[in-house]
Amino acid sequence: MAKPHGEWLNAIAVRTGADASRIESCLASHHIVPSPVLASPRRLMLAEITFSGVKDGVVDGGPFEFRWDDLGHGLWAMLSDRNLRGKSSIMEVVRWLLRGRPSTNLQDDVRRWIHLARLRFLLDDTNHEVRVKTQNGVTGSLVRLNAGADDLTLAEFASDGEFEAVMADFFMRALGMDTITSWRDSGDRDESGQAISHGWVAFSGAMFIGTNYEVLLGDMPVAAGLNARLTQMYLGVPWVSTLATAKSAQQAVQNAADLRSRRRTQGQAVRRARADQISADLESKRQQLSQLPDDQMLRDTLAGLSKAYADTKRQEQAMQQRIERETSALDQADAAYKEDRRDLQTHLDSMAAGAVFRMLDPTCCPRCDHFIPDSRKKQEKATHACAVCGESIASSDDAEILRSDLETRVKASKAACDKLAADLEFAKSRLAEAQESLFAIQAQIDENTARLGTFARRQELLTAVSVLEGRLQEAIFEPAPEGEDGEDELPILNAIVGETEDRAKALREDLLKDVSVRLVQYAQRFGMHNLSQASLKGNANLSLVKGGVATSYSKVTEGEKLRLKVATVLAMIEVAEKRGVGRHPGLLMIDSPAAQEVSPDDLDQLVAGLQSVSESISHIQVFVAGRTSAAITEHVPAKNRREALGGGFLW
Amino acid sequence: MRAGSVPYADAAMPDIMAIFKGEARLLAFDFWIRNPDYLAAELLDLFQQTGDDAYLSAAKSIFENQEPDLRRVPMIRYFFGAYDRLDDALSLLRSRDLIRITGLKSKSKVQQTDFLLTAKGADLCVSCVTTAPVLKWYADRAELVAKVAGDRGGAALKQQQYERAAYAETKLGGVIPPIGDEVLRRLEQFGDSLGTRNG
Repeated sequence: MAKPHGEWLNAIAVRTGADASRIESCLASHHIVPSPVLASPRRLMLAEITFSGVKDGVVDGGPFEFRWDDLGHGLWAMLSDRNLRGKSSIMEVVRWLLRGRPSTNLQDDVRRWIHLARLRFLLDDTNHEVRVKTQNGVTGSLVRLNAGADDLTLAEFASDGEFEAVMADFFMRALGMDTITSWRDSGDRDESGQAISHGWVAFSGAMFIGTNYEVLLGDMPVAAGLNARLTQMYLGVPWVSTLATAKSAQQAVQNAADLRSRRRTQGQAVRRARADQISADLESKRQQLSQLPDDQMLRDTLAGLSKAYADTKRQEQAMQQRIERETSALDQADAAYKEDRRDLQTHLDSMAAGAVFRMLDPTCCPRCDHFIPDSRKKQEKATHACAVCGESIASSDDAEILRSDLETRVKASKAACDKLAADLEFAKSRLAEAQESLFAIQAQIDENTARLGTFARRQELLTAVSVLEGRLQEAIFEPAPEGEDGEDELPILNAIVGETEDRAKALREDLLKDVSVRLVQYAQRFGMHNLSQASLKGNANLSLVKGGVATSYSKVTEGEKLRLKVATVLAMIEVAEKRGVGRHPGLLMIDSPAAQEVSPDDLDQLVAGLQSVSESISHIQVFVAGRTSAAITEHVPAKNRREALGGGFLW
Repeated sequence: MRAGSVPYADAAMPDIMAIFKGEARLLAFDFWIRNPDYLAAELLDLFQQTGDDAYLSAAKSIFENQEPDLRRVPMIRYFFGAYDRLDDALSLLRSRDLIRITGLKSKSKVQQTDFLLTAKGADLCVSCVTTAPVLKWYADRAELVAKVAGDRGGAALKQQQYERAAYAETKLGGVIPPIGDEVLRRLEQFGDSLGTRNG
């Protein structure tokens, strides 16, 4: 980048804080070129229009040739008293030859009839000629005619595409124009838009006023969004192309950033949804896991149960031993009890028998059967010495004592028996309890052992939980925004746009004001006497004060629009002429102003005005195509007119 | 002895009322009185043989009164049967002249000892149950034993007692064991059959 633009570069650097090399690389990657120089106007004048061929399928069919070779500055007219007599076709052929591309307004049959065409024009003072053979494809050449020397063929072409490229390249260079880039949205939120380059086809529109008055300048539809740029380009405002390119780049980067942001937001939403899903799964698995008994807990429980079983088993054994002991003791006690009772019974029997026998005194000796003498019996009564054996006769007191003793023994042994029986019953009930406990504990052990079978399921769940935890971490991970180029370019581009716009704006506002003033003057000369004020904006909007009421270009009548269009071009040409800036080449071709929307009065006033303007601005060349009328014939000299009268054709 | 004796009439000894023949027979009587379970076994046998419910009731009564436990006076088995020396008991009776002891003798050896019941003895048998009611059990039991023994001699009775398995199995010189449990089982079977029949 050349040094002279260093100051612009520095201003941008100051705005952004980025270093110059970063800014330069940004400028380069977006093809933004500084355009600080005011363009000086070049002038284009048609010198000769010639085309020939063969007409077919019409009343006047057959070979034809149209030639108009004495053209110069001033007002020119193509007239017929009826429509469809070739006026518009002449204009379309000119447009075709200047652009290298036929417009859609050129009718197909006319296009086919023409075999050869030639357009000679002066660019400033140099003669050029476009020579085209249009039959069976387009071939031809662009030639510079040097007075007193050989013609110089600037370029040759052999197809429609080459023809267009040659003409665009030639005029863009010759008029010092830069292509204008505009941004076109894709219409799809998720797709980025694209940058569109506009060149000669768009620029040349400013030289032709057709029958569509939608836009103030040129013939590109409003939707293309470049009317403001076109206006500024024709005004010759510096930095315009730079600004256009920078804005387009800014838009592209911004859109890309928006798109990335949207995608990131969508990505986040997707990640969040996934994380939510995983969280839900995880929660469910954890829930299931918590419902499975902890394995360790289970093992602890089983260990506790085993110990309880062993303890109870010991109790049971102890109780069985105790029962054995007590059974044995009871048996002994029972035997003792029976013995005591037997002894008592025996004693009672003995006492009874003893009593019976004591009542009977012995009569003889049981040994020898000798009778016992009375003396012995007397002695027994006296001494209590037995009459048989001489021993002392026991009293029944002893027997009573023994009996009481025996009865006590019976009671005691019965009590012992009863107690032991009760103890045994108690031990037996304790044994039954212990056995019941053992049964219950065994049941619990069996149940818990069965639950150990859930071990595999538990492991499975633990694994699933771990996997889900991992997935969740992965899902909630937010990647840091990628440092894509353009992220940091946006502030630089913003600075470029801002700086460039500031520079363009200062001069543009001045020029627009100047154009606006002259525009009003021209419009008044074209008959819009009630127009008191006009203001052309940088965005190509034209606001007006008409009859003291504020209005705008889009709201006025078709006839007024036509006059405002012409007045705008003329004002621009005049300002350019005065200031030595601007790029309008001074050629203007106006088609069919007598179409039904425009009244004859409007046309009269326009043509009258044009005539006076062409006298004051010497270098303009204006062609008007229309129905023959007094207004035109009055203001356009006969030598400047081509007319088809009495229903005839211009060619 | 009175229960097991037969009437005796001898003009030479007008005060002798009855005679009990044989010491072995007396010992057999003694065994049944002292071992109510063995007696009950005999009663059940008789019940089986005759179908007389009285035997069964008597056996039942023995157990109801816990007699095998309370009335049992163990005896020692000696050679051919239960044996206990009778001398002391007999001397008691003889000194009051309730009995007289006689018998058949060949040369110096006693062939058989018989016991004669005096009128005094017979009277005592009747009066003692009044003066000492406790002794009625002995009178009743003696009647029952006499009924079981019938007119069989001591040898036959001993043989019968010997047949009791438990009795036979008793070791020589040992105490004859109780067979109450076994007899009780039998009784219960009969008791069931009695109940069924009565019902």
